[in-house]
Amino acid sequence: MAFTSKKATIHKTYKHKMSGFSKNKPINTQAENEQKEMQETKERFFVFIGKLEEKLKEFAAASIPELIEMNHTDTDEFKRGYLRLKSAVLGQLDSIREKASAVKEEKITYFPYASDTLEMSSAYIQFRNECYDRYSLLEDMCQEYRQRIEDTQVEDYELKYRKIVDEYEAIKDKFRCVQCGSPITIDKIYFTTTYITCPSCQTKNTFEPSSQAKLLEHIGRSLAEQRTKHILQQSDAAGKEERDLYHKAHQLRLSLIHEKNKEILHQKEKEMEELEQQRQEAASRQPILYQKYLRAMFDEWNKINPDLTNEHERFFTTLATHNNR
Amino acid sequence: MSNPLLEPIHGVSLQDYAAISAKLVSGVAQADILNALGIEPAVYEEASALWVTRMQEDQTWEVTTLYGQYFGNADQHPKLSGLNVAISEEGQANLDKLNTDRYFYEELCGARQAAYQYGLDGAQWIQENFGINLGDFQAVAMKWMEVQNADWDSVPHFASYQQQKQAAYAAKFAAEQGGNVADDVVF
Repeated sequence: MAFTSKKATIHKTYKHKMSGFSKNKPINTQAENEQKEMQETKERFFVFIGKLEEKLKEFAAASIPELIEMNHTDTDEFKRGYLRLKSAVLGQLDSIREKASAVKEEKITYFPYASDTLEMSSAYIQFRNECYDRYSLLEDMCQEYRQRIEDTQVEDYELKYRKIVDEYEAIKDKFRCVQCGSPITIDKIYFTTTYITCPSCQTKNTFEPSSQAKLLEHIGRSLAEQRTKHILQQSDAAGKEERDLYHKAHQLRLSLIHEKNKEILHQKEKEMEELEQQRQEAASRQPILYQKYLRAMFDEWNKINPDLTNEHERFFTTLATHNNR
Repeated sequence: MSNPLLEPIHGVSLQDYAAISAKLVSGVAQADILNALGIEPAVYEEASALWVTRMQEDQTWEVTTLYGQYFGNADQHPKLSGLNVAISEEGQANLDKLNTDRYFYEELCGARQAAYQYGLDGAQWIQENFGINLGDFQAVAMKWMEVQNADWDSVPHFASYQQQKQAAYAAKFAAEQGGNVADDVVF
């Protein structure tokens, strides 16, 4: 159905261009020429994608070590230099993908042909699918490198949290009342400026945490996410499994379009049913794992910054409710 | 006030909190802002932490939506309207244009995005080339977002315009940097 519509569009788009071609040559010669041109286009497209992959590999091989190095050496609190470089590297990765995508659209999706035969239609579908599959491999490679580039942004939140805890241990018994000089024990890690009453003279003292302690709530969430990442990965893997099974079944469905052999039809339909069952199982597993991740992550966050437990729990309810919709 | 999440926290209203955030992003010193409002740092810091959690638990988006409106209209805050960082004459003219000309706004959004793609600090690039600081830019962005929310039909038109401009600026930045990594690969 979709192909018929696409073909109609292509015919309309190229009607003028192809009209002379169609009139001057016998249909079978025209079809042969078009199939030959299709084959040549496919070969050129494969070479083109291969060259882009090589560029991508070379570029990533040079950029990733540089990003790792810069992430370690950038002393800026917000690592702005590193982030700008990462953004530029990802921008180049996108430029490669966009270049491939533009050529795919122009040369493959809108490949012009005039022969209106079943054989030509089948040839076009095969040509298009093979080229799309080749393009998908580049997309997969881009995705893989994107992840590797993102992974260079490693923050050791355990270390940052450890520094806050160590700092707290060092200062908790050193705070003194501004009025009477009596020692005031800082009873917990404060992450906002706080009034603390002197137990001796009842004077209200202002305690201002250090700049790193003020980041406790922010670091707390990132650290909690880091500590529970493995559960999120299980949830993501279930989601990917579901999508892969869907695509596998879809490919099988496409392969049946011109299939006449009843035995093969029966065998593939059975295979599709099994894939659908597996897909549904993965689909039902994914949200359960995500809920498990959310609970574990919020439990960790509460441990790190117990002062905001009630607020965290309300946030948890919002996310859990949203995820169940 | 029917939504309890909109109640002020320690006397700091959502409008105060949003206006403080806008002024801070514009580069106004925190002490000057809090002095103008008569709020102690301890009160502000706790209220600030709690306003973040209010937004996190808000399932209706009412808090976030209002925050955006107040952020965009920080200059209408009764106590903070006159508190601004210095801006050049050219910067002020560009800021006025950004406020009234949607196409100019979309162009600068595209330019900023393209700048990031080429390793530049997009916000800084806008500041250096158009004299508009990040806080002022974001305040205008909030206003245009409201306009967009009231007219979804225009979204594809302006999104397409922004993409065209982003591509044009990307080409400019690429040329300045000696091209893209795969320029020599041709079909």
